[in-house]
Amino acid sequence: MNKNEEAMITKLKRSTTEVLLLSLLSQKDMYGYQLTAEMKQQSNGLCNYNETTFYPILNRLLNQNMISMTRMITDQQRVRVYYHLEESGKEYYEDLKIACRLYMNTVDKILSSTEDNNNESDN
Amino acid sequence: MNQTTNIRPKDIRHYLKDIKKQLLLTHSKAETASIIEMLQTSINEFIEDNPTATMEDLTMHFSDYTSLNDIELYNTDSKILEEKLNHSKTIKKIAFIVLLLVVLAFIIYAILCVKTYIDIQNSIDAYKVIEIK
Repeated sequence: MNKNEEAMITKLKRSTTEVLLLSLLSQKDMYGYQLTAEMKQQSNGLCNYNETTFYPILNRLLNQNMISMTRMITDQQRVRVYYHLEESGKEYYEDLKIACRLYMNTVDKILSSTEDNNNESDN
Repeated sequence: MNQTTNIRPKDIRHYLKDIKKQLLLTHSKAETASIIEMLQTSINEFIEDNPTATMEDLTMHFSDYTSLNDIELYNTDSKILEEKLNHSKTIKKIAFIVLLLVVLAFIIYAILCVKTYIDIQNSIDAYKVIEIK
């Protein structure tokens, strides 16, 4: 990936962090480190976030009662804080998903038509 | 927390302090405290999972405080940012007015001191005629 592509990915990452977090939590309850690891794995390394960037968003979602937080003790006697997507969060996520898809499809449509026009003019 | 860790509690405190400073630019004190608490918990989890991790590993995983601003400024409501900026402007104005008042008070004090000195000097007789009978 060249520098321009990386810069564009960074901009897109900024605007989609929240919906991606909600998407992961809609799959199952997760703790902080797990969220980062899952995000990286499911995006094949493209959405590689630093964990700190999640907490302001998680905190906001907590304050809006979209998610909840539960402390659990693991088999190794370690305390893990799991984040859980609440019903209101699920509704919010569905709305964001619709808006996100609509926007991305539109962008894709415009980009495709530009490519088609360029191909036609080349021929 | 594992005591054999390479990460000193002092370094973690320093790291959290840096993050806190950045968060306060875009969040209230209460929100910042809450985020820092979440982060602290997660740092503990990280150290428990990676007992041999160094401070560099921790910073790489959790991000340095500068990259935090990139995402946060983008996700912060523009109204909140405007309020923060206005608040900052108001503080600057108040600081300027206070400074101006202090300077004025000092000038008035200096003038009064000089005036008092001159009055005292004037009240002292330069010479006195003593009549010898």
